[in-house]
Amino acid sequence: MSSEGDEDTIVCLPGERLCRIEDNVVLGIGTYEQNGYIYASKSGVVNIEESGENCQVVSVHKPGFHLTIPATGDVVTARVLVTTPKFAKCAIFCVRNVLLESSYRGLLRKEDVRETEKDRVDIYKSFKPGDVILARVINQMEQSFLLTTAETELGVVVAYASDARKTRVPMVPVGWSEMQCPLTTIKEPRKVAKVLPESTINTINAQ
Amino acid sequence: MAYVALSEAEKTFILHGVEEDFRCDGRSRRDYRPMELETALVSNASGSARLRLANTDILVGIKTEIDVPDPLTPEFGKLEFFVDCSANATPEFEGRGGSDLAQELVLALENAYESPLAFDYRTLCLIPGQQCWKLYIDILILECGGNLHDAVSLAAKAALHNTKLPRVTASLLDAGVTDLIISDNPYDCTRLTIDTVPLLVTVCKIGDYCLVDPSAEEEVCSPVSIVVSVSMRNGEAFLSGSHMTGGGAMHRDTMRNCLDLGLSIGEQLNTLLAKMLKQEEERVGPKRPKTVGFLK
Amino acid sequence: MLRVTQTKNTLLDGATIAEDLYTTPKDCEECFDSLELPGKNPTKLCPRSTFVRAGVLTTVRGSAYMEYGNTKVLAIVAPPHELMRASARRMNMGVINCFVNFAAFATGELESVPEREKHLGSMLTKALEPVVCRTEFLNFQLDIRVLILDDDGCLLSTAINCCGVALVECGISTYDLITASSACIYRDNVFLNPSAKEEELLRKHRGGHALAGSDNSSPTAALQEHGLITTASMDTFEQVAQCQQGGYLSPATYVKLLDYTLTINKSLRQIIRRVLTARVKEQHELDVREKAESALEDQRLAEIIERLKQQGLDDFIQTNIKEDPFVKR
Repeated sequence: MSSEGDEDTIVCLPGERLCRIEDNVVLGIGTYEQNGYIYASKSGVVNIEESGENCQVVSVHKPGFHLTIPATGDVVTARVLVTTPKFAKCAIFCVRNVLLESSYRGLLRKEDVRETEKDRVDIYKSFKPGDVILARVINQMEQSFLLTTAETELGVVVAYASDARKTRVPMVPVGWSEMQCPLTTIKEPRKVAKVLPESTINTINAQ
Repeated sequence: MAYVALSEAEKTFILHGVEEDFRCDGRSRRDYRPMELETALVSNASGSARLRLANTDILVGIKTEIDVPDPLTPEFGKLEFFVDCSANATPEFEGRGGSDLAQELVLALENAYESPLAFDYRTLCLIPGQQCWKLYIDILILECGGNLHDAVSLAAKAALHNTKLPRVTASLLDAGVTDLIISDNPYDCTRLTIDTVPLLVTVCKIGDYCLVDPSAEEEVCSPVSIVVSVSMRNGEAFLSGSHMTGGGAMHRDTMRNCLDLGLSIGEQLNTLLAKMLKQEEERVGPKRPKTVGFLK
Repeated sequence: MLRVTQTKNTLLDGATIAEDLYTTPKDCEECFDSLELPGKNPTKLCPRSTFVRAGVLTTVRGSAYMEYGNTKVLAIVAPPHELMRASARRMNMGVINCFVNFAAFATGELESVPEREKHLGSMLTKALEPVVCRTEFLNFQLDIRVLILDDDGCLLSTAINCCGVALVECGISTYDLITASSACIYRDNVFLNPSAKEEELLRKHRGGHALAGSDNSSPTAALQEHGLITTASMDTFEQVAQCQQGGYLSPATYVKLLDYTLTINKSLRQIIRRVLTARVKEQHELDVREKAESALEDQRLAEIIERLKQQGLDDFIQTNIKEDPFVKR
């Protein structure tokens, strides 16, 4: 049924039966269940992982390219395209740490800009077209993803001052709601993200 | 396609009904809903028919034109189908919403009528290689209540039966040029034979059973259906086209069962339509009656 | 009815052209005679010589190229994107759109191309819908583009096969591998995997000969079945994903042709499986190698950082400048 590779790699193709469903076997990525058996839905290498007590996750890992679609809860990187009094339209170009081939549409509503004082949010004082933001996907609507920046770590990470576009020097955050251009010293309001250094993220994850 | 939103409980109810051979409206799996047929009601068309199959309402008008036959088939006339999913049927058809469905219906009809054994294109021929009739079969969907394929093909066949082509005489002038003379008398006309004209039968698979004439609700419950075009020739049923639709798959044996069901239903439907057309003819008589109330 | 005898041609100085301005049933006859007749019951149920390759284009992730005899088809699957039209939305299902295009040089007659493109696209969509796990990309649409480079019959079946490979290559979840093949019957001869010539005979003359010999009075005399059937199947669960038929067939013939195509599908499946398995292995090896290389790189960097820590900044810079090959020269 499945051909054996060199070192324990089992190659499978869509529609191949992998194993019987039992209590301690869980379906992972690239598999589906039919008539009490687990079948592969992608081509790739079969992966059986132990997880927790007596529990095995069967998944198919496709080598090479991975298809990524933003899912609810993912942190995405997006570029602000249009701002209106009620929402900001963005183009999502990166999901988690995966760069996308083509961008997806994102919508950031006024209510989802920050956690507190939601009614006093002004989109124009939070984002400007061209800003690069970090945001979390909260829902998928018919034609775009609904985003939120209501966390301290989320918000604008890269922004340029509006009248100093030619210099192309990114502004530096000077507070949670302001950024300053190092050349012209112009201050502009933004919903600034508290970007954590990579080392601290790693330690947080470790904990 | 026009979709009806159904809850899981409703779907289960329909499924159980199908299993018991007693559907929501009291029919068995092989029954059609009540049909109503009227012909010759559009005065500007050469032939017309209106078919109402429960909630599905179809109006077909046939217009004629003289055309040059295809050089490869010099003895054949031409047919052209056009389906209009008007926004009256469902609001979803507004704008370009109905174009996909319309295209699907046109393709299914073209495929079914393609064979000269199914529709005798030679009856539309005037002068081989030079002049032939071209029929424009315009189908208007007035209301959409499921089972469009069947209703559309029934209405088209009825309209073809109703079509009156004016009698044409040709005279050979000098230099091999022919001239056509179309008869002035509106009652001097020829009719088309429609014995072998195919009917489309949609066989729906719900659960483990096959059924015909699905209502809009049943269409939502069905993962897959097969559209069979049945043409009767010398008392035998032939297939003049078929395809699967609905986005599901079925086993070969299930497919055979569906096919057999479709063929036998197609046969019955054919006799039923013939009977209805005869009744209609008797009612209408040779002259167009003065009907009041177009969409009764 | 009138019989046309001769047509005057003014350009030829009054000379007449002997009738036959069009391809007559006689030409059709000649064309038919030039074919190799396979007979009523073909013995060899096998596909044409097939060449399949996944991942032929570098710019698009899900691409596949297939040669089926002389028919050449290229398929491209783009990652799913947002619905273009909100009205196209389906209840808990993604939407598949297939677009078929003929290359300008792909086919002899250009007139019918837009019509055929539309028809093929619609049939291809219907065939691929059952195989794709459409629940996985809710509110998305999947665009599949097919380019036909050369047409020698069996276009729909080749396009389905090629798209099946492209879908797997792109990493779109599918329930099974999909394979398809066609068969046609014409004048009591069953042609498996009909060539363009055979299909053209069938389509264009529309079985005209079936009526040619018979008079209006006796339609029974020359009833000859003709028709083309294209079947797509998924063999794990022995499901038929699509079965498209045109022409005029008796139910018995229909089932006979259906079974022929299903048998061919099984052998095609073996070919496609072999290709895809090889592809997965190749990519897996690449992945393993890449991983090993990046691990090596990491190790090298770690070593350098370790040295930096031990030596101190100035020393480190000094030693590294010496090692620089450009400075040595």
